[in-house]
Amino acid sequence: MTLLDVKGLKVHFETRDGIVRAVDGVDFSLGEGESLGLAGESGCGKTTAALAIMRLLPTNGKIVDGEVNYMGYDLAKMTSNQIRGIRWRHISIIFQGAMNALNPVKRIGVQLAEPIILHEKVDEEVAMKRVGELLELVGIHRDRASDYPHEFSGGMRQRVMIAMALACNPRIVIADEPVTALDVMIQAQILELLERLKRELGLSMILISHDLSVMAETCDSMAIMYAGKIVETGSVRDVFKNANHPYTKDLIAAFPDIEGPSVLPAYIPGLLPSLINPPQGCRFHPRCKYAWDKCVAEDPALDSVGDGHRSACHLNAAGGPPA
Amino acid sequence: MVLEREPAPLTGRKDAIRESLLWVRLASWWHRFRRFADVFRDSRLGMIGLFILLAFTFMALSAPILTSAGLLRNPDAVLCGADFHVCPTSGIDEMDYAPPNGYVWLGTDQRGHDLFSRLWWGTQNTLLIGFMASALSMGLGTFVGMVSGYYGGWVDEILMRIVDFFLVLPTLVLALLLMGLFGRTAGLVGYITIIGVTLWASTARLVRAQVLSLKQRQFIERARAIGAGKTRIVWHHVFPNAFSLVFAEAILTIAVAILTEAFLSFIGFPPPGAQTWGVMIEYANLYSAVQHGLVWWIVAPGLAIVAVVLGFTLLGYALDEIFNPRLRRR
Repeated sequence: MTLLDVKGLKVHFETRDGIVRAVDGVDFSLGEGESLGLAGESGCGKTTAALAIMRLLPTNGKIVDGEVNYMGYDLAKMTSNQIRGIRWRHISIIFQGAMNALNPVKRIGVQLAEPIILHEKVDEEVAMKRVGELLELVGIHRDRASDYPHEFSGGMRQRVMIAMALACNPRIVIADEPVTALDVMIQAQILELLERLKRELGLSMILISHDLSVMAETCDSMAIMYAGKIVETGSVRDVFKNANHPYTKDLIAAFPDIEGPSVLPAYIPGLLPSLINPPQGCRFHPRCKYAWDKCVAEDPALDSVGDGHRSACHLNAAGGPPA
Repeated sequence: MVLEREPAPLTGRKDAIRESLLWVRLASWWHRFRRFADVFRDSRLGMIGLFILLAFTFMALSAPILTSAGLLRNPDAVLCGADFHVCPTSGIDEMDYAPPNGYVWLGTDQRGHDLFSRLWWGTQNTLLIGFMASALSMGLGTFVGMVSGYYGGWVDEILMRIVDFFLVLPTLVLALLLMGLFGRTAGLVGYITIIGVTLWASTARLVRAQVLSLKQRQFIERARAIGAGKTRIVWHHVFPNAFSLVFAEAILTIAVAILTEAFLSFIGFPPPGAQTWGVMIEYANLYSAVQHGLVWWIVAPGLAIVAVVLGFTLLGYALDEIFNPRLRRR
């Protein structure tokens, strides 16, 4: 059953240099208990898309078009009071660099209790009891609720943020780069924790990362974004094993192979295009090794290339690059 | 629109332990206070300031007790005779302009009042005016700074122009202006208000700057994400982070408020119905203390003002050094 359905989402930022089309027509859907990975290089609009779902865009960002359907309501058109009721109670977020998302002068317990008190009409004692349970859920002793954030290590703070995301029993958790600032050992711990919580609590999750290996381990399906658009989407297996879009292939090739000969991994030449003046046609064409004139002229549609596997590339219709 | 769901229990575990929140909180406060005290004790100047202020606080609080115990004279009692006994106002041998001696340690004033007890009693009102004016100015400055910094836009623009108006006028000139306009009719509260109003502008600037940097921090975004409203974010998340700054500023402002009061009293705007050190100096000036050889009439309250200002300044800087991360040496 589809829980969240994003259709044609467009987010524009107004800047002094012009309008930045950070997210330009993105569709994806998230099923109940499913986890979706959003991957792509920095600045491709992953975080913006996620923030747009919760309507947490900075003041110069606007959803100009598209729908975010959740339980029959369009989140994109809700009033700010209505969306405040959705935040955390239904959809919560683990922030990028979550360790800085804690208020340094307030005790952890108070901060964890805040969403509970805000969204559920419970008194402080009930909220604090829940805080104790939440902390133990993420493997922190409940007595530490009276400590301040600086008394925790980075990984623990991250776990506190995860606990906070779960405070109001949300249906959907958006994890924005949940492990980026952590070392590999802690990364593994956190990912395992997320996996376990997802399984035990039946959460649906949107995982945002530029680390494909993280996705491969934790997600059911994934969407690869490039310059504000989704270029390929499908199950994790399809996207990894049968990568279709040249960008996806390049991304996968850019990962070092630990079993093969020790050579530097391939990289994708060029830079992410400006989103104020995106390239004509397919946005990837300036960096694509197969690009031909059709790629400059026409923007490829996201077409099916298999069961639930879709890709936006002219190569599919043409059956291969012209000679 | 209703989007209600059953709040499902997170875990099936039943927890019978009821944590006593108050106790945990008290223990945690005590612990933090102890840690603060450990750091504060290393600041020698801060400790000196604290002891000076404790001495003055003792003076302020003990004045009524000492008087009723007979150890301190009533500051309004007229003294007569060679043994400086209390006598009715219309006494024949009023001991006015008496030089310091074994009975009256600082001498007597033009009406035969004991200057030492006037000094001791003056502590109360001087500190009170300083505290109240500082509290008022901090309240106003913090409120304006918070609103201006957090809401921004035209609200910020308007408030900051008002702040500019108060900042360009020199404090004392502004105080004189307000005293000239309202001072004669205002009561003690009005008098304190006038001092408070002349001192709030720089605090507003300071708080605004702090808020501007705080609101970029990620925990503010997180507070927004959990569904907190603007008012809650401002008072629950931004304010606690700016509080230490405001606190150190408040201590320093008490000193400035006391100096302002002394200046205004000397210039001829004493606080209505209140004996302060500033008022003592004004009377000394008015009744030609120096010509009567009563130098201590001026010097004693003057030194008291210097000492209390020094105390607050030392304490303020010591706190600033502890709270302000850029000056912190821990």
